[in-house]
Amino acid sequence: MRYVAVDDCGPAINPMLIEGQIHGGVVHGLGQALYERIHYDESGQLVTGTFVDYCLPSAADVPNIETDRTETPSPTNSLGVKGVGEAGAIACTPAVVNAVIDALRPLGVTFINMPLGSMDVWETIQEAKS
Amino acid sequence: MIPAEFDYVAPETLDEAIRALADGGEDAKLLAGGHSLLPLMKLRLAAPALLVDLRRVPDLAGVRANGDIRIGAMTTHSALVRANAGLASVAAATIADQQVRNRGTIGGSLAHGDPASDLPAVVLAAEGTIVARGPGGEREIAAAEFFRDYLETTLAPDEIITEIRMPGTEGWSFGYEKFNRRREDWAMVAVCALVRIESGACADARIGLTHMGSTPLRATAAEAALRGQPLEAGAIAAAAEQAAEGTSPPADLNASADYKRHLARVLCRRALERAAG
Repeated sequence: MRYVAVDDCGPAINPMLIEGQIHGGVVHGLGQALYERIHYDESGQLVTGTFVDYCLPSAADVPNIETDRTETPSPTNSLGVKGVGEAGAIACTPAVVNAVIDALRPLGVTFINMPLGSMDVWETIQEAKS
Repeated sequence: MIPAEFDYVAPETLDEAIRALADGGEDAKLLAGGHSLLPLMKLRLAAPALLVDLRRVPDLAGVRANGDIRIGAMTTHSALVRANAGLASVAAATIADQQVRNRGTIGGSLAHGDPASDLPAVVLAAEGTIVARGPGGEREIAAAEFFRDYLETTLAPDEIITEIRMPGTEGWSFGYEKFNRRREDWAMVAVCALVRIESGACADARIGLTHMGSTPLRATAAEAALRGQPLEAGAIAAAAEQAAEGTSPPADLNASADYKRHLARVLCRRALERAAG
């Protein structure tokens, strides 16, 4: 899998920090798209209360992230800088979900609830086929 | 996150450990790598009064592959990977993460009896045996007789696993396929396949299923379907279709029983394809 992130936070003051922020944000976005779910059982017990059950992606689950940027200075401050902390997270979740839905488009699938667990995707395919 | 209070001993010999375990009665537990027991203690799902740590007992770790394969009970998953002993080593390489593999042991994993763990189904499929020592002496338990129910084995409370024995793998090829949410997670389902090929046909097949029941299981219908067949795509696919026959896998939040049966069929096909080369 290939993940490309192009962001614009104005003039790059510290490129390494910008890349780090993008990487971290993308991984959070990936978690939201594919893994992270708060689930209560019928008796109201939280069953995703530890990091064994509440699933965060680890380094081994993340594709290589290619970053690039444009530099458009902001007119609202003298440095021309813009925030970058959440940029990766905001773009990643819809990019991943839309990629899955695009792959399933031949089956007529237009929507799946997040997070896209493997079983959710499988069940969606089974329903679309039947 | 803090365990209940417990006593701790670290005996220097196997006999001392057996005595300490017997003296501790039913509230005593053995500590190997601790990667199953300690989390349970921290969640207070287990509260042993005494931990008998096996780390100082000599000669319990190591892998010998001379004909048959003998794996000391205290062999860590990492050491098993490094020993390059076929299917067991390949499966051990997929267990959790490096830190867990550096501490967790094969004896601990089998004694814990979790059907979601990798090694129980491997030892079962390989028709291995578990060597246990207790106050009454030593006995060798066939893996098929060892796993009784979820987290339950036929190991007596006063027995210590000393070694795992598996038949030699000469003439056998294998495949191991595991599906999980994240790399470090327990298997949603895993399938190990051992195949003996003679002149292009499957002379024998042993297929183990992880997390498809309250114990590790053999996919006997798929094994029977494959025996005597040419080891090519059509026969493999037909046999793999029967991988989930007779199973009633436990459902959880991330995998329904139907989904697990689907995974078992797909993973069985992939494991057999890998074994067929």
